[in-house]
Amino acid sequence: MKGGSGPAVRIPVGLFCGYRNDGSQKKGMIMRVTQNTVTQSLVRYLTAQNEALYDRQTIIASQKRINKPSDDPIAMGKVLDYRQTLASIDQYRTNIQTGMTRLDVTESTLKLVDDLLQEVRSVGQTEAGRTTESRQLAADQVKKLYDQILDLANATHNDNYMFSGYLTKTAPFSRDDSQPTTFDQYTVRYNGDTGDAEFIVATNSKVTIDADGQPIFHNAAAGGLNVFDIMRDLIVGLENDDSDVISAQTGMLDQARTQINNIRAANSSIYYQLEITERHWQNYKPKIKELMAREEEADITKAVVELQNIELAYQTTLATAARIIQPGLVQFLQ
Amino acid sequence: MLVADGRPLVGAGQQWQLSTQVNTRNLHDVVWLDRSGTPTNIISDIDGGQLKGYLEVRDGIIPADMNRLDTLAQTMMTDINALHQAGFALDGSAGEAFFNGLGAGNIALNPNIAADPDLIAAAADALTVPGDNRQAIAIANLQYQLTMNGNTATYHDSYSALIRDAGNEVLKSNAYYHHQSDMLAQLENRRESISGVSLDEEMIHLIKFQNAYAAAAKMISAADEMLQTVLQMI
Repeated sequence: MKGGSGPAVRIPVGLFCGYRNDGSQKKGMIMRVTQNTVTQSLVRYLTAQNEALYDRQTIIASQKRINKPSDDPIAMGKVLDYRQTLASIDQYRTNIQTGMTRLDVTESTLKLVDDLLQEVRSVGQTEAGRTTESRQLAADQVKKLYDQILDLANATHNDNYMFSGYLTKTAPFSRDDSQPTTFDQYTVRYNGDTGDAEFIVATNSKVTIDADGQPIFHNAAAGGLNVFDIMRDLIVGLENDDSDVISAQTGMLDQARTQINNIRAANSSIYYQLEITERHWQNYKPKIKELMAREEEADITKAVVELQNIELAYQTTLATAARIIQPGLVQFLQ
Repeated sequence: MLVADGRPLVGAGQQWQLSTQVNTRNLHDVVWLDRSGTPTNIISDIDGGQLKGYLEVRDGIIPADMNRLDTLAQTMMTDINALHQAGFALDGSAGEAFFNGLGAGNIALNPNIAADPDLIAAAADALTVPGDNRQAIAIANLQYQLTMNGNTATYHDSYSALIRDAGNEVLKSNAYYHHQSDMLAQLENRRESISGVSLDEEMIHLIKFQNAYAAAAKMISAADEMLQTVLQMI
């Protein structure tokens, strides 16, 4: 017996066959009705009504129209598809959140680096214009900023280094301190690789966030700038009281900031892409939920009204059965 | 009385036996025993009735669905294991099989991986281990690929189709069942209308014959009275 739609009760044949609704007999159809016919038909009728009652009870108790695949196989298939879609959407949104958090942390780190570089640049600019003993003091200040930027380049997120490619457990930048006699011999080495952080954010679509620290801080090999070398040379220039070097390195700092800000711009467009995708899923999910509800959720009002109808029919049938089974000519003759 | 392809069960003064026998799938087959007690498997000769219904479900429909579920599990295991074994675990070692098992009944996570999640081979290269998730993404992308039914369906499509087909099978059987039981009820009513006993009819007949009998007895007593009268005249 199919729940939800279709006739309220499947009426078994037999009880009234051969008779019109007004009780008159159809022409050409001779039907003797015996006690056996009546009792067997009543049993079938009551069984069908019980079945219908049970179906409505199941629908009302579970609040679902589809309680097993055979209730509506086509709709069941759709419901499974929707469930799969909803599970995927939840995973995509988790991935998007992870990606956005990572971009947030990257952005705030690089913003800080940019601020510090600007400070270095303003120190260089101030010192390039004058020739005083303050340059040694300025050199010490830039050294502190240098260390701070190196720390930021080694920033971690969830205990993973953000700028070392796939090698998230390796600090990406290290100062080569093997033979440090004077500061001008310091070089910073890149220990990471060119790996990315990838996230699946939609069906067959992934977002790639650059995790390679080289294009940001250490890009001399690829035709860009090495932020650490520029600062080292500026420090050396300040210490040697060399105005030409100071102004040259200060000019380079502007280009270094551009290099970092280009990365920030690229990241912000990825962030925007993630935001759009997230908004899409946010709008899409309730629609899928609605479609799924339309397939599998029960119309409770309808089920309750049907239940009451069937209950009434059931009680009436029982009362009728009690009346028509008992009397016969035998009782009247006694 | 005969069963399954003319084998006797009850004859004049004789009877034969039906019994069961465990088959290779550890299920019971129906056998017919001849006079010497030698069993003959009669499963394939049973072609109707409740027993045939049970046998068809047990030996046809359910194993077919189980096979489809097994195929799904086996394909997933093969595909995922192949990609996982091409990947590299956190310690840089090549990935082990991710799933163990032969089919849907015993598919299980490799116990080594269950004990040590570091053995999950998410990296595509031994040198890029800690942060590389390319292999994991490749495995995740399997869900979109047409890997099932001769490369025409995804895992989910295949599973969903299995559930739909099973549901349809039940729905169809229910429809057949109701159709057949309506036919049966109709025929039973026809038979009952011809050969059934109506108590009302029988009571009417009883009264009728009782009256006829009473009338006949009345005849005899009237004749008797007349005869008495004649005899008294002598």
